Amino acid sequence: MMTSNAIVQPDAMLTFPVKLPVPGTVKVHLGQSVEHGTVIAEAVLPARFQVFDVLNQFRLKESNLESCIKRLAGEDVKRGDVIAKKPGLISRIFRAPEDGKVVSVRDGRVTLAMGEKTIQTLTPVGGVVSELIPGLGAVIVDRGFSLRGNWGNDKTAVGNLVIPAEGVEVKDAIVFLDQNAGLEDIKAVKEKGAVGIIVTSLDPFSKTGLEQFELPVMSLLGFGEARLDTVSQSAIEELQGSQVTLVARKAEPYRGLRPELFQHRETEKTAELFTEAKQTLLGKTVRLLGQPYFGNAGEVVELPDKPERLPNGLRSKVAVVKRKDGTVIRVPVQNLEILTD
Amino acid sequence: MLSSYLSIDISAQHTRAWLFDDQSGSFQLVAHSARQTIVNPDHNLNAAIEEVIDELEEQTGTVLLSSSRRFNIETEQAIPGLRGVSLTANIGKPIRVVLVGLSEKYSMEPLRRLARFYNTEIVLEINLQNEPNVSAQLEKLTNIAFDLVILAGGVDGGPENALRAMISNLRLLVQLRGAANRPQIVFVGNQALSDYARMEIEAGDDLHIGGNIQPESGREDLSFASNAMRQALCRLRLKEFPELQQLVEQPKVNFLPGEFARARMDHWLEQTQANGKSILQVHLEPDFAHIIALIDGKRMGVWQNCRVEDETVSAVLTQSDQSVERATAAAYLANRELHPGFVPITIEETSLDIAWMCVRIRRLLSEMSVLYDEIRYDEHIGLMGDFEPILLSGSNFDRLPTARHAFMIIQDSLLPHGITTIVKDDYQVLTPLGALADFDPMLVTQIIDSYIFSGIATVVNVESPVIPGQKVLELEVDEGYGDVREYYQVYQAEVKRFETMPGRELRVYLAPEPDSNIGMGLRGLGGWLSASASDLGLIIDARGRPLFLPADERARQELRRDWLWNLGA
Repeated sequence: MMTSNAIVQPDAMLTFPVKLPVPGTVKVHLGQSVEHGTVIAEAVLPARFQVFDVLNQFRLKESNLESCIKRLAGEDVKRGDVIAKKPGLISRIFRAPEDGKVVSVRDGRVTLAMGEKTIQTLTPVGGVVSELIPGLGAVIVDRGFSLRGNWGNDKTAVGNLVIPAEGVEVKDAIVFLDQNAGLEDIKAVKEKGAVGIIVTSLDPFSKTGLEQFELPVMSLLGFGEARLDTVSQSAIEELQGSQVTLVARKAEPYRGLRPELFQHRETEKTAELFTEAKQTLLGKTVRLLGQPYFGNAGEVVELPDKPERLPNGLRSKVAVVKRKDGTVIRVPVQNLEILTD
Repeated sequence: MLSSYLSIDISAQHTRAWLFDDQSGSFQLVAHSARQTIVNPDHNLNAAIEEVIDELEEQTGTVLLSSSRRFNIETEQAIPGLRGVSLTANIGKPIRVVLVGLSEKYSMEPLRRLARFYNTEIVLEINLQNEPNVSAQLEKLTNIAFDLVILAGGVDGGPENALRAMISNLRLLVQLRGAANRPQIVFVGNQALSDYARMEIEAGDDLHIGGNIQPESGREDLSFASNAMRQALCRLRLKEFPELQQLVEQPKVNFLPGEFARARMDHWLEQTQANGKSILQVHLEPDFAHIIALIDGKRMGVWQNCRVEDETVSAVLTQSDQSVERATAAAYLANRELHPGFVPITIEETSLDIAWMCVRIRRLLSEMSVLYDEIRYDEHIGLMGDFEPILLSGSNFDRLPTARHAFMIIQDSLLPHGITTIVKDDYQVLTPLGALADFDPMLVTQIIDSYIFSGIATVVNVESPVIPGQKVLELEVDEGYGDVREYYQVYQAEVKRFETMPGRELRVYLAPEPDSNIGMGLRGLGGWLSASASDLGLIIDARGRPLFLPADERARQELRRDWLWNLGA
């Protein structure tokens, strides 16, 4: 799928939903400014449940059940409190094993919730709360510079962007490796204390390992041998040394979401939250997918109306792209990424 | 009075629309349009839908959407408009499902079959026999994120205690999650408990009660869960894509997940065809694959989202007819997963793409054979049983250079046995017809009768134990030129093609060798076969089951290319 968002956007809107896995309480309000690490939502869950089947455990008749259950749903209980008691010569008692609450008395069963565990969700990005997700969290938005990638392992980090060189400290930094990196290369950077890693491209055999990797990793181009285009290269150089947010999320094609390197920037163009997408490719700087031009940039100089036959016999709508070295090639429009608007 | 129907289908790659009407006396496909589903945060699915409808309006000069973006539905007989609109979704994240059943064989296995038919990911299974501790069950449910829980178990009127306890747990879970975030709950177990479940769980529209999928011991019928599943999945998709709500709320608009629509069509095809054979439909999209089989009225199916793993690369390279470096193939496939819309350009890329389609179909069949006893499939021996037609749909098949490539993909992945016909849904109408069938069943009948599917080939698969090069079959071919007959011989490990002419049926007498089985009931038994006109005509596939393939990689690739050449590619 070709999205209409460009790879390099000087004034982009970052939209990042922050959600709990289970419902709880949202701790922020609409319009609130949040920093990286702010608690967005919190769920306090019982640490344990105990369901006691009074009817079957005490071998009671249903008519005797009501008199045996000593606590009602919603009541707090202390450890040792009698929850149910079967009277008689040899009475039987069910006591609360811990402090907690009776959460349900149904159908002859008493359910106790005991202990507490708190699950919090923190925002990995700074920005403004633009939407509340009831019970689960909020959507954080921010405006600034964005460089979109193609693959991410669903993690995020904040740090200064560093291009490794002799004497350059990478501890707590987001490191850019301009290479086709493998798992070992990335592990080596992690050992030096980096908090996130961006690479030009990845060794495809590292993919499975990197999906589970502890640090956020983003590949700008994808997988395999490739050279980074000069536009992205310049963007990285411009960001070097400054604080950036690496949002190495997994792509969600049907939402137009991709991993990205983001930097908050003040802008006066706040009215343009919903810019009209420019529909034509003509004149755009684009990046090519697929070999032998993987990662190359060029300008769309012509957009023929009719589909054309490709070398393999397929027919596809193509764009005529003039590469930086002056050569002109015809590429299926699906094999292009828009670099800049 | 003109009857016209509009259907829209949304997938991650394409948004499509079709307009049918009966102006000519019977229903016909009047126009169709497809656009790439281009999305960004300010361009939602409604924009994609409006674009395809605009295109239909341009093609037909008919107003389908009003200025207030409402469908132009016929409200009075005298004023022309749409009689109905269907909206199908083949888009969205996999639905996270929890399965709860009473026993492995009688409820967990059927539940897996039920869930895997749809775009789901099973995140938790609770077998109440293995996990009788009600407290532990509750903890598992509260500690995991999921969208849908399907509860089954017990024959009607059978034991109830374990299910009752789980229903109480679900009540608690619903209370803990709150109305906005509660999951969809589908109950398809012991019907004696359905009223109890409804009253106890109190989940309103988020609870869906279906029939018991195991009404009697040993009898399973997943169709009893169909309506409940449909309601649950529709609610989940509308939650995921709230922008569709305003379309779905309009009168005479039928919203369905695409899986249901396709399955409905396969049912219809099975019921209407006279040959008594089973139906197989393979639907391949760049980002997912769905296979449906109908055997004796029983529907089976599996949905798989595309995923490239290390084993995928080896499987694709083994299947490819080009010599490609392992690293190059791995990178291509990994990038292909990132860019499902990518168009292959080179011979090598095309070969990898085709091989990957084969691998994806094999995976579907392998999973289906694990889930269903009726599906007997082995990657080397092939798919046993009589399937005819084998129906191909989805945009992956549209992106192949020729019909020969589609044919080879199906033959190499399915390795079918006996005689079958392969047809292709060129206009991708299976999904819209299935969704519109609710409005007017005549629409489906007349559109299918209008030869909307294109024939790819009639295939005779010859199975014989002899060595390559030995004769397995003789043919007497009557091309319809009076008494003239042509005679041919087919040898083991060979593939032979006989072209058919439009409007002329090809009649062939098949005389297999005593050891050869061509699917006519017995080894050595032959007979007359009529092949209708199709893209490739009649193909005799005597390549063996398993295929006779050289061990040497280059020789194997060359042989695969030869097979394609023999078909005229």
